[in-house]
Amino acid sequence: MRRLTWIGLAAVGVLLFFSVMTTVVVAGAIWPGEAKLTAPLFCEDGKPDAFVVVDRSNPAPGETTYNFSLYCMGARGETQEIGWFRPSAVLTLGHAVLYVALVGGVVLLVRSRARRRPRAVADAVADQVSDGT
Amino acid sequence: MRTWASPRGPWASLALASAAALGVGAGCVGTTDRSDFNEEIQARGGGLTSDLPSSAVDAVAASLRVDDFAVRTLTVTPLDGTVVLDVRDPAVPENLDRYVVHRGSVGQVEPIRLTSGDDLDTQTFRVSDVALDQVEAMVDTALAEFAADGYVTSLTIYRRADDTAGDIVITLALESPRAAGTALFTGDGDLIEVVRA
Repeated sequence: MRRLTWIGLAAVGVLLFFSVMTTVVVAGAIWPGEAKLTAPLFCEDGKPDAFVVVDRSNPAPGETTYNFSLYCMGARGETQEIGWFRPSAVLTLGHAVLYVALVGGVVLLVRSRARRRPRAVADAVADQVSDGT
Repeated sequence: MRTWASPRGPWASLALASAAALGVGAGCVGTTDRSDFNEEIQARGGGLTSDLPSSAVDAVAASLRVDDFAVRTLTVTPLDGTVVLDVRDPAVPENLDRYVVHRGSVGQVEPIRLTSGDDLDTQTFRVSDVALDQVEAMVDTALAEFAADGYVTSLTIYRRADDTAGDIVITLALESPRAAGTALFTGDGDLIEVVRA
């Protein structure tokens, strides 16, 4: 029982690590616009248009930093600042769900193939036996 | 002439170029530059709604634990969501404090140094006397008079100190690619005039 608990905790830890790293790499570096997918959760009524606004700054010569922030905008240009933490948290949760679905799908596929294979072998043996008689 | 060639051949060069292109492109996919974002706000009229001043007034009222209070000026800058209010302290009416409210949250509160010519009784007005819920209608009226492609950069409310002393005036600072101007409204939200700079 204790072993199962440890395995479960380790699995959650690994899942959390990969989800956070995916968020850092994808939303933080490659595709920050992914945060717009979370806009329906945060944007107030009347501010349906989501923007991921990037602020570039040069704190030191040769060094450039990027700050991302999710905003919602209405028809009059009124804005709502969501920030970056909450969209990142939701994206991390979404990535975790994706990983669980992906790993679960692969496990189910492997299991179904493993079940099918012995039956196929058994069928082939039965065919050979019936041909021999 | 000697030309540079990758020691690992063309594939290494291609990989290096791809990595460089990815590095340059990374961080940009699906984002909007701050300047483009501000231009989008201006294209939609400037982003001024009654929500900004109303939420700022509510936040200051909650901070002072009163329902209504007096101010000398109230300035709204919609682009950054900042509202600055020079508030007469309800507990000590001879004192004036500057409240900076950002998107409904009170930030800085600083005392204002008064001069001997300041008369807070004639300079201040109660926020409940201003039609803050008419801001959208005022913006529409002002832009219709000013320019179709215009936008509002700020709103300022004060009490007139000239012959018509006592009147509350709401001013909207207007801009367009080809002009700048000011729209003046009464405290009830009725248009007085639109003046081009």
